Amino acid sequence: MDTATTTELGWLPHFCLAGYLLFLLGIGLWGFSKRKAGEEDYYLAGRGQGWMVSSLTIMATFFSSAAMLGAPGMVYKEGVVFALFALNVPLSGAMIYMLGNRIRKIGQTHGHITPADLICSHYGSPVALRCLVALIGFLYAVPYVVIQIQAGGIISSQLFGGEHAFEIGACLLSLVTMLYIMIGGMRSVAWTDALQGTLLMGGMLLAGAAAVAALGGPSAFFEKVGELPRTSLSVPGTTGSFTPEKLFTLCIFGALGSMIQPAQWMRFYAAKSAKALRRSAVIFALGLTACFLFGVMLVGLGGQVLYPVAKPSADGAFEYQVQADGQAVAVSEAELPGRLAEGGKPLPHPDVGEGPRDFDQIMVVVLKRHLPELLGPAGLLLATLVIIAIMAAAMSTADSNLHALSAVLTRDIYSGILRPGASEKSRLWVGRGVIAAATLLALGMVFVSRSSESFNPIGMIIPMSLLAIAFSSQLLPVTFDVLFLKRGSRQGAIAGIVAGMLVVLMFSPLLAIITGSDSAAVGLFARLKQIADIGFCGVVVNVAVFTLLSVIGKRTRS
Amino acid sequence: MVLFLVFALAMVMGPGPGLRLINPEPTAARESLLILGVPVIYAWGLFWYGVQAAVVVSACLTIWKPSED
Repeated sequence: MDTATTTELGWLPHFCLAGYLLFLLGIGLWGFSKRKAGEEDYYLAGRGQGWMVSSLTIMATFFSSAAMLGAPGMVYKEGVVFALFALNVPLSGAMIYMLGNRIRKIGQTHGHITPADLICSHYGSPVALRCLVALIGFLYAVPYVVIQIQAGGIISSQLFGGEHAFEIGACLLSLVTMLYIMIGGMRSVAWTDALQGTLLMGGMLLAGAAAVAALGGPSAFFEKVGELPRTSLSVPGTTGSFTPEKLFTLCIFGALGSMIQPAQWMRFYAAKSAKALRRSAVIFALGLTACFLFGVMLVGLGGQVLYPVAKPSADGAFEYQVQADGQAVAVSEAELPGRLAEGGKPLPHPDVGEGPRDFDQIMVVVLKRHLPELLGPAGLLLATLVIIAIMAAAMSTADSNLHALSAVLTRDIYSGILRPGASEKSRLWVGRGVIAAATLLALGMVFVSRSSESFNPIGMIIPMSLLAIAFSSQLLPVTFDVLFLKRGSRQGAIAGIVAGMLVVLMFSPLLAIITGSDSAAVGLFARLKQIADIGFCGVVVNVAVFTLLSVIGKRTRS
Repeated sequence: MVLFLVFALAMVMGPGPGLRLINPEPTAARESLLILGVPVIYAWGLFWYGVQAAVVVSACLTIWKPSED
């Protein structure tokens, strides 16, 4: 990790960050002062969110450290091919209206709060399906919160340096986020999201402009980008991971899966009207994609020029650094695919980081080093603000997921199954307890992962996010059936979700833990992962099982 | 239906199998990696983003908004 120049920004980050965190706590208190009694107010802000807050909170929930650190990190590692992943965003935008408005209408009519409320009332399954939908919510939210806390630690160590900067940053992000959700509920979460959404949209575009300016303007930027290795400018990228088929399935299921995860689903319930969601959809599809394509993706490309992952050798070919058997070795362009197939991992430029996971730091490194160089004191301030925007991206996703997890576990498990007669007051306190417990669990996972060589469930930010989205994608078949088709059966829905989740689990590190990392099963799923997105594989099996059991059930009944 | 088909086409062509149409061959000249000085893959993405954006705006104005009214 690069901490050599952590004090370049002086005391400015300390003041800005302290002011920002205090402001967030202030919004938390403001949300508390506006509260009304009842679960609907705590979890959905009284279903009264207009288009401005709706669009910003939906964007801020969608935006995470995966967008601000992971996406440029992936472009820095793989090349321009990953920039096309931004084309999943317009599809997500369209879904805000097409799925969201139907979810909002049904939710308002029946008083639903969580995804399971709607799905289970449709299929009439009070226990099994409710548990499964809640489990999916848990499997989506916890990894996502873990990633955000890790990102908070990375930013802190980049900003402040020092031995315990990572731990302090991770704890601070967790504590402040936990506090303002517990105090103010959805109203505080949505308003902090609105602030954070504005900050991070500006931050994304500013970061892109900084990368272009650092290379001498648009013409010089693209001229230098044009000299990058061939693999950085073509498909399937440096490591050969992003074939068009895989990118296509990733875009489809990344878009759909992230729009039906519990936190977004609850934002659809919370919207005041169809107009709020319609405007949110357009702002999201147009504005957010532009922020990706003209903002953070350019940071990754510019990063490849400023901090090359491949050096040109005497014969004109490029030479990469690859970590194999714990050691860094130089590998020629021609040898690279073979080395990667043997388990080697490409390494970033030493100024960016020392390990294969450090590609994610390119954004912070570019901002911290080049904005002050370009703009002097104003650059210092802007660099600090954009780095705080990255923190905002992490916090806005963490708060939405913690808040949604609290609703899911309290409403679906505690009052839905364990204590059906629980009072509203006790449910709210259990909800706050869930937020505290989930935050501590996620923080613990970050620290264990960081301190252990053998146990590392986090890895790079993007792969972990995609695994979480793959779990939430397993709600797609039932969601489309509930909202549009209305032909599935309860048994089909349950069996389909179970089958889909099992398939996704096969792609997770769990399989390697159970069967050993060199087993045939691990090899098979690794090959499958090269071809298509994990969520897609799960949904294919999910749909097949769901359809089959629904048809058989219908025939048996008739 | 037309808008749906155009959007689906943009998804298939932009980040999907349509990429094979413009992806330079490994043996092709280096100039084929760029178009007007911009990486051809990036320019391809920008074009299909324009198509997707046009579809979403059209759907908003011609389908979503009237159905609410």
